[in-house]
Amino acid sequence: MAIRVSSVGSRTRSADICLEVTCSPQAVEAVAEILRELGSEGVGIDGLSWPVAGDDVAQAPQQRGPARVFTIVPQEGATAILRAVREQLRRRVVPVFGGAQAALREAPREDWVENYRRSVRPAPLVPGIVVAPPWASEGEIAAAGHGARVLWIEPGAAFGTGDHESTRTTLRAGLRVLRAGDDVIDLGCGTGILGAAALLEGAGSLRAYDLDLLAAEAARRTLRRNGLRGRVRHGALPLRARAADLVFANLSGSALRPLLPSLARAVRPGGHAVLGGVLRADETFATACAAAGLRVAFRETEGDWQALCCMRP
Amino acid sequence: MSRKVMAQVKLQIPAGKATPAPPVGTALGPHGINIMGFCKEYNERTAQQAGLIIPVEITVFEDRSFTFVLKSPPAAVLLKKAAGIETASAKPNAEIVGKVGRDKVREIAELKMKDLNATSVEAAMRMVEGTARSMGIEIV
Repeated sequence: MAIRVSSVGSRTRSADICLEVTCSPQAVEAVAEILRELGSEGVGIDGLSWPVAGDDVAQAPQQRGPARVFTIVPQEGATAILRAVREQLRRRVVPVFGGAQAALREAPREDWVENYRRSVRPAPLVPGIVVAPPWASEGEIAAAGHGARVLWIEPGAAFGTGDHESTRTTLRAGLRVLRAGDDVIDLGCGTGILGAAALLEGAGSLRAYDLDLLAAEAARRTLRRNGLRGRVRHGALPLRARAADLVFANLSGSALRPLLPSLARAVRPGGHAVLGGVLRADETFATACAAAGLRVAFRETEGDWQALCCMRP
Repeated sequence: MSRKVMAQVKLQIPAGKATPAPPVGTALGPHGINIMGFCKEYNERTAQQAGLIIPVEITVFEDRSFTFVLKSPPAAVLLKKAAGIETASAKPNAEIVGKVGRDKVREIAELKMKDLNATSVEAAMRMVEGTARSMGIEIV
């Protein structure tokens, strides 16, 4: 087995020492176990690929090269750990799975959370509204939309920071039919961005729902941060929900289809449902809406995405 | 026409203990995703399995959004449990430290099939058997 020990050069406090093993995809479990037995508290693996759920996903090409299993080791004793890994690979992995190479390299120690946060910038959401993270400066906000109202959204795990076409198309469609004082439902609210924007634009009341607890919490934070009032529930749309003037449901084509009948019931006669996250290529979606009693009034499109504004007759 | 996958990364980390520090940060940081969001959600979803290694497969899209799927514990961990051993053999070719029945291997293979990227149970079994051999566990 060839063991390649890369030079780690002059180590500083600003770098971690990463021990990485290049091996066949079949060997990753065995290699990860060796690293764990030698004290690793967590391993990362790349070079593998797997199918991703979702009708809107272009699947990644199948990986055919070697996989890389890596962990962070203490600076003191890194070389000794490398030697031990090399020995275990020789005994346990190479005879079964073939060649495996171990190496040390410097991994820059960065504050990835801060890096991510810093990378989020204020951006126009719809004409007249800029979406901004709480740490955005006045100058940045003005640059994104001078004179626009600001909707503060804290980027987090929940969907809906305004940087996806489905959020923008759904909101644009909804705001075209929103009237002052309207009662609004936001199903699958994510960060609460749609409902919050509707309230900013004059909606009278909001009921937001999300199956994801973290999203429900994020939506509550969004309302609070923007000084808006609305009800956020962790859960599905209640069966007997009072019909609303406007219902937002920015989910996906496949998630929306089975929900269409209950969404239709959640709209008062003459009211609207805006169904977002639907691919433009999904040509049968409008037919499904009609079958559920929702008449497509118009669509907003951007990129590959469409939001359908449907009226309940 | 659709969301493009930018990166796929797998992590094997202790349930409920993900932090933005390495190796999570090292693995995900360069892809520009919201690591704090990932950690919070991973910890929330694995809180009930404290003490176990819960692998997770993260897919990062072009727009830096991501999804992840939790997996069953690593095959090596399941094999150790099945064989009733604490540590693997240091000399797997010479020293057998435990035995696992073929039916158990199949059970683990079925559980781990998706995680192992195997196209059939037989292929998954071969990988589990390979892992067992690498640990000095005999298949009987």
